[in-house]
Amino acid sequence: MLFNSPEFAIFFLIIFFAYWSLRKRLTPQNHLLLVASYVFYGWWDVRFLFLIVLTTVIDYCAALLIDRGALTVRQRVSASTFLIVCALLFVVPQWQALWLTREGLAYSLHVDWSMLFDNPFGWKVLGATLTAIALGNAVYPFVRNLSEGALRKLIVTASIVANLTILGFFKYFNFFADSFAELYVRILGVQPDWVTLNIVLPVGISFYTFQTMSYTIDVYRRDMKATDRLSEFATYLAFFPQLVAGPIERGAHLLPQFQRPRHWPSREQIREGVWLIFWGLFKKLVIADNMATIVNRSFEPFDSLSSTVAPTDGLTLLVALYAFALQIYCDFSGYSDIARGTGKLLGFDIMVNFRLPYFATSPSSFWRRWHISLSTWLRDYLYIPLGGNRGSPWMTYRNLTLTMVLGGLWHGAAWNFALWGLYHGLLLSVYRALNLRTERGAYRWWTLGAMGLLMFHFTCIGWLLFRAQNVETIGIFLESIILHPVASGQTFSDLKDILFYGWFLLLFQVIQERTNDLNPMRRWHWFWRLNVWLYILMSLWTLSSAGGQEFIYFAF
Amino acid sequence: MLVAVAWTLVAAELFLRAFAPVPMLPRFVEPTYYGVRGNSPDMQFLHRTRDYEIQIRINKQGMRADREFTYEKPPGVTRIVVLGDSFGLGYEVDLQNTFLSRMEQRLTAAGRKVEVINLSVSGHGTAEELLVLQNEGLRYFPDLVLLVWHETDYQNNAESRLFRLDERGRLVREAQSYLPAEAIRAFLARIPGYQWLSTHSQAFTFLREKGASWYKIVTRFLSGSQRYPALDEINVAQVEYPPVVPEGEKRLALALLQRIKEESTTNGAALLILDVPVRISRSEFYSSFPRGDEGAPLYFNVVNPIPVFEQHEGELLYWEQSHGHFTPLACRLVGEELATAILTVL
Repeated sequence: MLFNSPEFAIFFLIIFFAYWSLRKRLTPQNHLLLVASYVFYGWWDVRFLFLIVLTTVIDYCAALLIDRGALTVRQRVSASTFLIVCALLFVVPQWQALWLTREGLAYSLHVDWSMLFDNPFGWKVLGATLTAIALGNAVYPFVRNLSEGALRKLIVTASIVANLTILGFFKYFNFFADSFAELYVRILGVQPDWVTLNIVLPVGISFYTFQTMSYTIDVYRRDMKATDRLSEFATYLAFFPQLVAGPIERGAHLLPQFQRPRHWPSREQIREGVWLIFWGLFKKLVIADNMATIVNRSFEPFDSLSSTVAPTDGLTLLVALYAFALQIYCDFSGYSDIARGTGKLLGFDIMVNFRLPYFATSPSSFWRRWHISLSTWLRDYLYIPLGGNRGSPWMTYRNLTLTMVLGGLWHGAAWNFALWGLYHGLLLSVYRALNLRTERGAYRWWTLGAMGLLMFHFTCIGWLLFRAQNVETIGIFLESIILHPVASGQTFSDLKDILFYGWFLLLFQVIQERTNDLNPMRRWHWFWRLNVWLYILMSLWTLSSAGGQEFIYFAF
Repeated sequence: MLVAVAWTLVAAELFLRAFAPVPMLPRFVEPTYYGVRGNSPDMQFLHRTRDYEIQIRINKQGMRADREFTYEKPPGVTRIVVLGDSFGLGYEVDLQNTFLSRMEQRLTAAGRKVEVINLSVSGHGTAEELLVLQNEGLRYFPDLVLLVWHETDYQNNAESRLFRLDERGRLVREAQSYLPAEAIRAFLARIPGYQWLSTHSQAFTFLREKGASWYKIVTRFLSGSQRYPALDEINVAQVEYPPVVPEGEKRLALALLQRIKEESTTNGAALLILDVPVRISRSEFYSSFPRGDEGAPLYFNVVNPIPVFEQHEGELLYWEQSHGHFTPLACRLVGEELATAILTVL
């Protein structure tokens, strides 16, 4: 279910009213959110819900074992039952055997009983689940008898390995299988059909896997206590506003919010929540989707290798990079804004994921503003454990580069993501080596402005590495921009479109940056607020790109 | 509060004019005595977009024409009665540039004395056109009935429920009238300055058109049927051209065309059909005319301008910033094709 779809609007309205009708009843509210989140996710593919459930059960048990050294019988029974029931619900039936028909407003449900349970793969998964539960319970007494230190280490390692195995299989199997197949063909000249399973990537797997890993590691580090209630943890992991494209929340921030009573949001919270939703939709539908037209037109000939000649109007390609910078920012931060807005309306505070990243004046400043939930995750669970900046300068550069390369690969198994990460790692290292600190007060405003402009262009080069489908495209863009910096009619036409769709965002963000406030409107006179709202609503109504597109980060 | 509402309306108007101008193509229709919409008689109004401003004049008989016509046919005159929708009415082009005017000019140049009785009404489908022919068109003693076929006819015919096919496949009359959103239209028409707002206010036009499209979506939803998940939607990655027309809609359209042909020939008029090409891009078009087992295009005399459009590949044949009707260039090409066909028919 896409945030920018009518289905989501109806879904959210139903959930919103049902949820607040259960006010003061915390457990039913959490249960409702869990069901809603599973419906939201299952809209794409019901079978993949089982992966979330599996991850939930693994980390629920792991965290309790790490924190308490043991699981109660009730906890073991509830985890096992949850897993079996979900396997029976999500993977055993063939959901295509159920369909609805509508005549006017009369709906009828149809079931093809012969097909419903004719699913050998589903039964195998159920069998494997039962075997795993039996094995887990058989091994449990031995594990419990380990010393505290050994138990904690064993369980946290097992949890990380399990999570990374699931993530790796679904995210990286195709890449390695394809690479292996290519090598096989080159050496033996035969196409091996047994390695190409064509694994479908479950939406949001990178996001919720990192979220659950941070929880287990935080419990291991004694930064937080493990939760006793499976339903609370399941809801935390599958919370629909941020399930498929973040922000990657931390247990210490989000989990307690499921444990305390939530009150009907204040007028200010509702106002901010609704604003974030519409602001996010504006960024996505009006800016990102319209920028996609420019970007796709510019990249397509090189993506498909139908053209390998560097165009003579290099500035058109530079403008296409500006358009992509705007597209990816508005697409991703738009999603985060909608997530935060829906969360607010349900009484939750979801972390800020973007803080005006194109106003950054250095790479470190950029990463403090861009995809904050991932960059802080990488800092806390990768960069610092690697040694951070505690060693020699060269060790620091190594740690920075390694962290960024792995951050790039988090997006997917492709060399361009690794290259993008490497580029940012090197950029961070170079700025650090040159001691280019750009905090407020260090330079005059015009120097900072120039450095901001320079950083924006560095970011755009990064986006070229990120967006390119092949190495040739990178070469063609760079050659064209550097050797043929010439404008054509297309350059001005694209630039005009960027300004047409993006001018309001730029103006609003200048105000946000100047006031150092992401929501400056709350202090404005009602007349100015009305005008901003009118502009946003009218833009959504009239300038939205036709045909809703998926969010880019769903692919990660 | 009042200030906020008033400013909202003003700001919406300013926004549309500055950022997203709306094509202003007002339509003034009213019920006829035979239960379908007809053009409101004796009106003059403007159609405006970023590309053009044209004047539409509807005569006292409800036709787009700059003069009146008598029912009696003057001696020596060949009469052509036109049944159609907004394409037939000549939306988005001046009267002298409509394909009917072009056709008339070409026929006159060929020495034919013709009168074109244009009974087209924007929004009409084949079912309404049949009623127009029976109740109005035949009174003009036509020598030729020219029917303007458009892709939207399929859906219009089904939605109007004016006719249906019985179990033996015969065409039978069902509803006695089809006047969609008539109450809303009547209400709007009573608003002082409605006509002025329709032709001058972007915000008013925008809201009215959005309202009309929502009305259509809701009524289609309420009267339609669907399967969820729709297997064909899941399996078809992209829209295919031409789109698949439901078999029932196709058979109904063929039956209506057959009836129009019978009515015409029984009354001594030939039937010629203009198959309005549907545009995919500036170089790709497709025909939406029904092709049943009966070999419809062979049975009917159809003018299909796609070959001549393809000779003008890349040129502006349909307006792209508005409702997508023919440009003057396309009208000239279609008018010439029609004139050539008529000279062989009559």
